[in-house]
Amino acid sequence: MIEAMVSLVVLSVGILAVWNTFAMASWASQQDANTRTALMLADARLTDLSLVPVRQFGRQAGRFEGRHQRYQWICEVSQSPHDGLAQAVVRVYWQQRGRQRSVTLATLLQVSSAI
Amino acid sequence: MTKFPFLYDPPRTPRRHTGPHRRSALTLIELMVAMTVSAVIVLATLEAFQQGRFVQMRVDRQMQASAREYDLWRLLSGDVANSVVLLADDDAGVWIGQPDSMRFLAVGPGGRPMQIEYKLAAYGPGTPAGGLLRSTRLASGSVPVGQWGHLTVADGVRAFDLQYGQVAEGSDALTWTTEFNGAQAPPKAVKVRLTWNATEDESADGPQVVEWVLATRADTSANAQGGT
Repeated sequence: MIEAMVSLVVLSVGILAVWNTFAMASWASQQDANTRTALMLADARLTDLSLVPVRQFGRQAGRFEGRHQRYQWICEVSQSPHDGLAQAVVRVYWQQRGRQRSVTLATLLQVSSAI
Repeated sequence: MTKFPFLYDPPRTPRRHTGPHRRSALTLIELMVAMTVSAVIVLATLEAFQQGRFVQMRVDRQMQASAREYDLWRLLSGDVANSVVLLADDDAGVWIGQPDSMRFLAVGPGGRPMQIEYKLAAYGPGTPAGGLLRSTRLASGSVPVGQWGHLTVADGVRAFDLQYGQVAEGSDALTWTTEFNGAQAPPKAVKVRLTWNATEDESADGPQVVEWVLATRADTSANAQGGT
């Protein structure tokens, strides 16, 4: 009886270890896919901003729609030390396993002559 | 009496294996308990594996969709960003945008122009493949040379809707139209909306729609052609 129980415990520990490895690999793959999607969304937000010259500085936030509604974004446009250019920083963040993850992209944008 | 001793012998009391000579072996009860415990553990493990397998399959599908979307976005945004307008007798150098297709010249690897067309290929007999089709052919300047090559870059696409963003002269505002014919410069941006056919397990999450705004280098193209 004791031997059988010990072997079962050893087997269970082994199975759990293998299972944990699979779970970790799956989590890492998911994290990679989420980061890639967030990069794409952040780049899309920067593209939106770059289409027309910047008219006002400030901070905006929102949530993406449709399939990407788990991702939220914060966009901050501020003055840069370079004449005629503004600095735009886009941060896309999401929740994964109870922790917040994020990616941040930044670029310089042309400032409208109106401001 | 000796012939049938069992009829006269008093009944024997059962031997209890107690004391220093107790026999060490599994009783039937212990064996059944061990087997029950083993069965419960095996069943729980199988159940966990089964659930894990479903989760894994779902995660795999999500990652495949994510990778498919990302690759397509990279391809489209790269092509649109590298699009140029080259004026010549042949109209192949003109940027032509329709509500469901677009055709333009793009500078390919090595700086060689390549004519690119995106359109939705119909499903049905006789068609090589359904989905979003990317057709390319090499060009010399704005004159196409060679044959069209076709590649399905996204399967199961139901709709491919396009809009073209332009900035009016002397204005900062962007206006969107469903058609574009650019002989001077590419549009400022292209808004792409793709709708996929939802599969059975994806239908619960709603229609698979993505919308991207892809920027061209309209300003630099215009400058390259004399600052128009």
